[in-house]
Amino acid sequence: MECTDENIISLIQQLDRRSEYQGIGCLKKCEHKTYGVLLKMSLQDVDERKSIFYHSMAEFIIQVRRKKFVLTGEAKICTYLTEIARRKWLNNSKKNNKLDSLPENLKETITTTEGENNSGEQIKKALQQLDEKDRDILVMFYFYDMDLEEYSKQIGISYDATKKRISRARTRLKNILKPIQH
Amino acid sequence: MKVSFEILELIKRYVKGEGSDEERRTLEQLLVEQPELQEEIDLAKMLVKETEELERQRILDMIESTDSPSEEEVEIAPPSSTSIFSNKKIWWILIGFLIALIALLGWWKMKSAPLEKKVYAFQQNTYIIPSNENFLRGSTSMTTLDEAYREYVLKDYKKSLSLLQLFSDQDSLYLQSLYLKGHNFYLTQNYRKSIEVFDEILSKKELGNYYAPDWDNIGWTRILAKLSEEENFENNKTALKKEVSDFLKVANPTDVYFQNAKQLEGLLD
Repeated sequence: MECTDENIISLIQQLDRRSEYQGIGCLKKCEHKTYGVLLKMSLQDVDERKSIFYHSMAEFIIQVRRKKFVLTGEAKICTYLTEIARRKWLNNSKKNNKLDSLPENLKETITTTEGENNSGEQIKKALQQLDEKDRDILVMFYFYDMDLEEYSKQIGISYDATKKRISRARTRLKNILKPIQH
Repeated sequence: MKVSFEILELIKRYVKGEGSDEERRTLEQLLVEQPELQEEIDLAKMLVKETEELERQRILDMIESTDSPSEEEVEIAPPSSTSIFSNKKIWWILIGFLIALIALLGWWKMKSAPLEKKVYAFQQNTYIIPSNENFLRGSTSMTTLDEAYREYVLKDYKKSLSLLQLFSDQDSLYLQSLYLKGHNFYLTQNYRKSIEVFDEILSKKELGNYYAPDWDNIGWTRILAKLSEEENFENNKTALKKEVSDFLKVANPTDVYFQNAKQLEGLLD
């Protein structure tokens, strides 16, 4: 399949892993453009450039699935992706500058307390213990806010079956959480 | 606690800040009636946050799994101790070893091949096309010869031969035309004709000719034609050796034909 903007969007919107991989493969073609812009912004570190590009790709995929990105005649995916990367790098730089200006003891406090959340960790672990189908449907429901009728059509089950699946996945998650919380 | 799907959706919209004022009021009312719903709201908050992190990480893992290391990474990566095959040097050594092995096998095959095969291989590698220097002189008949030479180079031997038929034995370029004819016959595997033509030229060598062909090329191509014509090398080895030895007597010791003949002499011994 040719990596046109329309095809990339269509691949990302499909829910199977194969299409997802193909979409990622196509998006990687924007690599040079993004690296070029980041280099112009004095980002010399190869690993950091790559990391920003990958995070931007992930962000783009999420935006497409959440229907935050709509392809118009003028928009070019690589330009959009590069813009996400540019903003990410600017935000990272600002954050690093702020951290650098803090005294060492405060810096440590901030970095160690960030992300420390027991119940969050428990849910994360419980989600990881779920099987892929259950996890996927919870991600679709809670994160992507996907239209359930559309989702049902895509995976080939009825609307009611989708609702049941979500309820079942939640019950299984709660069952995993129970012994952890006790 | 059993919660209906509609309430689940209401809670989700509420925690995401997407619900309408009416929905918010409905949920607050429900919370008063069923305080245990608070637990569901907390869970929904966590799920919204954690499913996002989980999904981002899953996509990132997928992206990284499709990654191929850049050149910079290959250079700075420490040598892996898990497998010797991940080391680039090992691969180069293996490739070098394989090439050497193939060359050795080729040499051994050549060495142990019957004389016929050895001579055949030798013959394939030592045929030399005549130089066009002798053909480009600029007269009308020369243009025909030049055309014949061009067709010969383009491998249209039939056309080349038909052009060469235009030369009579009275023509000053007759020997030149025979020279090219001999080569055309040789390459069309008409070895007998090729030998006949070359013999005719060689018989006129003593007469002297301004447009003299390359005598050593003729002598050598004639030997190659002889080799190709022979069906049984073992039986005709003596005759072939004599041909080579006669050629060596007249050939220029500094040219490539002489060196080739010397090698062939060694092969036939």
